[in-house]
Amino acid sequence: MTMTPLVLDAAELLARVENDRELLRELVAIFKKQLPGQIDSLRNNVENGEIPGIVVAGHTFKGMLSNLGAPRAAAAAARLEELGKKGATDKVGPAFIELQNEISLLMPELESCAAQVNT
Amino acid sequence: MCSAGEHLKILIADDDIISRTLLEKALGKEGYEVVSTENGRQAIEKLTADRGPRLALLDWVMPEVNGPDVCRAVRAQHEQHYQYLLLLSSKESKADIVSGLESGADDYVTKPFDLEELKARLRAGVRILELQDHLVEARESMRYHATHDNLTSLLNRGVIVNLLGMELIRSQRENRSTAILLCDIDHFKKINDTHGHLVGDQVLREVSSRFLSAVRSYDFVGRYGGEEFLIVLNNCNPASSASRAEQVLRSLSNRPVSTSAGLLSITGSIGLLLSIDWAGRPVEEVLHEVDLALYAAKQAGRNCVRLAKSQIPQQHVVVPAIELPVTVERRKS
Repeated sequence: MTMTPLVLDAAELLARVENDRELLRELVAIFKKQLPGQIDSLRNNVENGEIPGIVVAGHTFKGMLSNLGAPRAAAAAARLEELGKKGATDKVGPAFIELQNEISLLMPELESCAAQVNT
Repeated sequence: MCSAGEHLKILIADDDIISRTLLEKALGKEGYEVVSTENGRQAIEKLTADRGPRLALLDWVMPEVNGPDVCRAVRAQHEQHYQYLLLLSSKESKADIVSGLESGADDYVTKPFDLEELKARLRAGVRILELQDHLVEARESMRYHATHDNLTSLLNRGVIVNLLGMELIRSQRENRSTAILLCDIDHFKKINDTHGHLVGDQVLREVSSRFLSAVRSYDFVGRYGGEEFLIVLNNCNPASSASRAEQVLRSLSNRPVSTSAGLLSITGSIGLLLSIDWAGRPVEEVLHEVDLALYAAKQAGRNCVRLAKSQIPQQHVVVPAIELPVTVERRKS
């Protein structure tokens, strides 16, 4: 039976920050601050078919989301990067929407996790 | 943990701010002095700067210059102090790993990295840097001992003669004159016989120090053997060479040498040769002639300078004596 990847693997995230609660809060705050600008930039690249920009942004999101213990969103970013590398301009739009959706699912869980360690 | 409480500087080059922040905190806690950058160009600047980081974590994909190209740029510098470079990447095919290591990286870690493994790999890097430092230190020590006299720390005979040979060629090519001084401490054997070799060694060390102080920083001073010293004054105006030699001579006699046997007054004798008078002559011949001039100075009663003249090789011109300070007795010892 295949396990569905978690939206947020809290255990992995806590291990990654070595249970440093302050650091976790800092990382979540950085991500929230960076996210709107990075999503806007990626949207522009997708709308204009700027393949190199899509590949780089997909790669960057993949790394950030992996470090935040978000396997599903990281996988969506990896797909976007791969489609960009293949030059599949017709498929990057849906892949971008999928990434946005995964991030939308992730954010409340991430904030909740940060709030839990906050207490 | 860094070595022996030392704060080893480490560069983190990663455009992913989450990854960068994680690494900064984790490695700061480990005792590293962390320097960060978000693109490859800045990473090259920091790594190739004077006293740049010795350890680096380089993301493969970065703006401007990628991680492997940073490795190539750093390796092209051939710095004496080795830098340990670790590539971070989500690329994990065998071809990527080979390509990363071929670019000059020492190690390769795939993202998302396991922090404990990464820290262990960095500790391995620190061990390699420490080993490299020890090897460089040993090599430099051997190089120093192979070129310097153990007692006086002056250049040894082989090196000073070699430098003289090069200076003779250079001065001839540039139509300039080099002054060659062969100096001998007068009655040195008597110092050894009267006070012992330890005191003799103290005199040799002090004389070496005075010779170094009496010449310019770009002149050469070497121990030629026993109590003989060879001094090469580069680009020395022939008209002033006699007074320069007198200055060197006075540096010996102008104050006594402090030794464990008390204050000892010493003098020296100097043979002087100007390369412009001996253009094109081999170094062996020049050394022979300056040695004859030194012999002439000894024969003239010591504590004086005699100039070797090419036109009359077996005769030696008396250098006009320069008035010494009245407080110093110009002894013929």
